[in-house]
Amino acid sequence: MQSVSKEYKDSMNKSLRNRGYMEVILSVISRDAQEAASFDAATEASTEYFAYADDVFNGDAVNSRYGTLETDFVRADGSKVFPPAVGTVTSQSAEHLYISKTMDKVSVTVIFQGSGKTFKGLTFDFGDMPPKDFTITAGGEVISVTDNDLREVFVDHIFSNITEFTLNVTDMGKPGRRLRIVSISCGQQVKFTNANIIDSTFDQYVNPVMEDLTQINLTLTVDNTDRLFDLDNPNSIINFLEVGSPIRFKYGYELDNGRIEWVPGGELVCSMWISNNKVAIINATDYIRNLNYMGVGGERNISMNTSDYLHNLMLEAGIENTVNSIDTVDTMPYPIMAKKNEFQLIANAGNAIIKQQRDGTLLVEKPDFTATPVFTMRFEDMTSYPTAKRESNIKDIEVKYHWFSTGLQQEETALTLDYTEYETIAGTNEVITLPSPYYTLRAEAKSTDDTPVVIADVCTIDRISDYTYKITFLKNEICTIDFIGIPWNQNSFSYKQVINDIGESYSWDNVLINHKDYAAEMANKIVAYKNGIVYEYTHRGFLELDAGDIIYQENEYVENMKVFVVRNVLNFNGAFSGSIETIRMGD
Amino acid sequence: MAEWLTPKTNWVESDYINASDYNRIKNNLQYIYDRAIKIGKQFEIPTLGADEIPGDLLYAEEMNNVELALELINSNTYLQNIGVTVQFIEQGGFPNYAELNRLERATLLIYELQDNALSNRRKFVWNFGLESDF
Repeated sequence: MQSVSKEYKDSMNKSLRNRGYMEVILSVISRDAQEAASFDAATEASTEYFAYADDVFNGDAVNSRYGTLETDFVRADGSKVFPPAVGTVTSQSAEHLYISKTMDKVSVTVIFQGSGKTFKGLTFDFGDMPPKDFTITAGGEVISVTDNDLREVFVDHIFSNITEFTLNVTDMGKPGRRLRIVSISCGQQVKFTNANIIDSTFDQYVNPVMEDLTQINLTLTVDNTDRLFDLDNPNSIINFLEVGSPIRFKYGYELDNGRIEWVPGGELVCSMWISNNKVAIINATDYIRNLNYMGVGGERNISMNTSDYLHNLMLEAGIENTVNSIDTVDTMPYPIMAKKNEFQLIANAGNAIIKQQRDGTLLVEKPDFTATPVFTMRFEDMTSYPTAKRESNIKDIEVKYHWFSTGLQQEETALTLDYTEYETIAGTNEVITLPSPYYTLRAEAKSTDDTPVVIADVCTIDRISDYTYKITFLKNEICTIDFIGIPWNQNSFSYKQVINDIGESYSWDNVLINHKDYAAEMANKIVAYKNGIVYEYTHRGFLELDAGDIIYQENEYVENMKVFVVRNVLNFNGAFSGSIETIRMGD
Repeated sequence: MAEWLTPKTNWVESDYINASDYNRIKNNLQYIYDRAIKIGKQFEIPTLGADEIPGDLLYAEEMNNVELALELINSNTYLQNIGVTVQFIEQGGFPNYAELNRLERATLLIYELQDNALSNRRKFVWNFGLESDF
């Protein structure tokens, strides 16, 4: 649920609503070029002592806060602060942007690692004091920008196969000014507003028991009569759009006092686009579903905190996240699976749900049915009669739980991994994946004439998980390596519960559930969900509503009925409308 | 002796603090200090340093010297109620319009009191070579 003002709520509840707005920013940035970009050594050396320029290319840089006596830079409002003394600057106290030591005439060079890069446009954020006149030199071409007074500057040019470019500032507009660069993006940002948005659908889905992964889809239809998106035109931006290009959007509503209240929409990634001479349709999805690369599996670690484990797992996948008080379960040697399914597995075991928040970060938390909802879907907000049905009718449920042990004997078993007459190269390493989890793994080696080789001289073995080990080779050798380890014994049990005389049987298996009590708790939760009453209807469209929220839903028979929002769709075509799927779980 | 420049006493939030403003504040303080020790008792203030040029870095320590100089000049001359001396710190805010008004208005007040003192100073008239009856 997004935070909104009382003025917004009062106005949205009126029978006649005010004007709605939507703003979408599509970043057509070459990730290849962006990730390969850095300042050259001379530029690094020309950076002011209290500035760290590393974040200019990764979007983490922020506007300057340290004041100086540059011409018309510091206002008498106390917002700028004194810089730290020379020699005392730390990563925390530094300004994370490029600030030149010299003034007025400044040259900055960006280099690209690896092969030449091709992209359309360069976008600069120069902060509060943009340069007036400057040139971009790349691949023998010079692009001039004069009389600029904008903070964000887009240089519309196709840069083909370039390995570097130089920004040469000849006039900062006023004497005694440093050049500041908050960000450089290899590409451009395209903004869509009410003027060119024809239609949009923002569809969020959160399953209350994480039976399916959280999903968000945005379908945006924009006017294309200016042929911005033209596949046949090699210079068209559409030919530089990539699957995964970021798309950021927000909604606005004009309050009764004329002010527009903006509510974040989301930060998604482009998945598909089509266009013709009249319209372009852009589809964007959440970030999680693209995390299809395989993880490394889990290891049994009963001292590990599930919240921290999931938090770190998401961070490793490059997603900022907050994990709130999920149930702690022992981490078990779960098999290698896609990253997104790891999140699902752990969240489910922790009785939590995963929400992609509107700022693109993930929030993992337990649905709190005891909290008082801050939103009520009233009869007058509904634009169709709610249809009610049961999700399903469960007759009985079986929830499996698992325990892993090494057995009393802890017997070693030889693994069948093909390392016969294998050529090891010193300094290299290999990650080996095992068909089942192993508690320990060691190796023995023999030379081609069957003479035993001291394994400690050949390689070291490090556990990544109980399914994955890393072998680091220490010398050049041709030898046969045998791997021997102690496997985990997986003991599986079932918790069964009969619910009704009729209906369907349901089975649930999560390898992280390792106790009968957890299995019973999971069974109760699933039954509450599966036997819950599902409502579907259309509504007037609310900017603040999210899937995963728990809200009051007006009902003829039940006072203060709480429902979980499984799916919420917000449409915008100049006005707002929506549809929703809610479920009443438990009471 | 430093040159006196008319202080800016109408600072508002949207005004910029430029090198010329800092130099004026600093040099005016130096000016009234120089006059103070000429017409009154001797005392010392922190060294206020050379003029800044556009783009120079200004540190909290330099601004604290300005604040201390004003406090010392006032406490050694007219003991006016000029408000509270502010202590600036690294990574702490630059002086805002209210503080700049306090600094420059206090400097102007002392300057005017000095002017007044100088114009009304009692002088003993020596009448050399005139005859008179005693």
